[in-house]
Amino acid sequence: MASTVIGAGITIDGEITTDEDVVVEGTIRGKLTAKDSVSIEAGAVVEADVIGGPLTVAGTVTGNITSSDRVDLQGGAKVIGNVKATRITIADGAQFKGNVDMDV
Amino acid sequence: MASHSRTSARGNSGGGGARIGSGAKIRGRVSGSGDLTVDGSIEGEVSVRGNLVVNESGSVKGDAVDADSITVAGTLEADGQVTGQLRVLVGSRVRCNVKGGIALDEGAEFSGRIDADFDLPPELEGGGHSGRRGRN
Repeated sequence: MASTVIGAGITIDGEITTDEDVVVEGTIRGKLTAKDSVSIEAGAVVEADVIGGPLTVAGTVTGNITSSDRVDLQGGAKVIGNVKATRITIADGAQFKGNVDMDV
Repeated sequence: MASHSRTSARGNSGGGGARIGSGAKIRGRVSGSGDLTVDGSIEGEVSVRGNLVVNESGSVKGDAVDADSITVAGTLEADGQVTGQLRVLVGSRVRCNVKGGIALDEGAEFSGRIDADFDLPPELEGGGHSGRRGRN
């Protein structure tokens, strides 16, 4: 089980910082910084800049995503913002509006 | 109120709730419905329709805290009102003004104001000055 889980019923207005992994099923407005993996599940709403390790998105993100590793936008994901990572996948059915920076 | 055992205080988020891991720090407001388990730290306001559990490594500091029940084994410091059934376990440090109800374990550290509603025993009722009656 993930170290930090923001469940579907929970809203956080503010800043989350962790050196572990995070699973988001609820709502975050502000900023999310994790050193380990971040998973934004289907149904989650993140109106925040997201910085993390390996990052998986199946929910909605409005904000810039920065990963020290890879970003996977899964089917059903909706991302409005710039994505910066060394490796990026955008699955069929993912919605994405923004720039991709793969740091080449 | 005393039904919270040490084991139930270790419950995880379950459906809809949240768990703040020991390496995590939140600055801001946490709200919503579901249980909230804190192993890390929260600075700010907490308002949840569910049970708030602050484990040994956890700390909640800041403003108002509102939950159905609040079980503290770690640190709780609130400048605003704490609303809910508060249970302070041994080894914890709690500084707040609580409204609702409180259970203090022997060895727990508590400072603050307690505003608990309860029925006065019959011999004290109608005695004049303290006529407050409550829901519990």
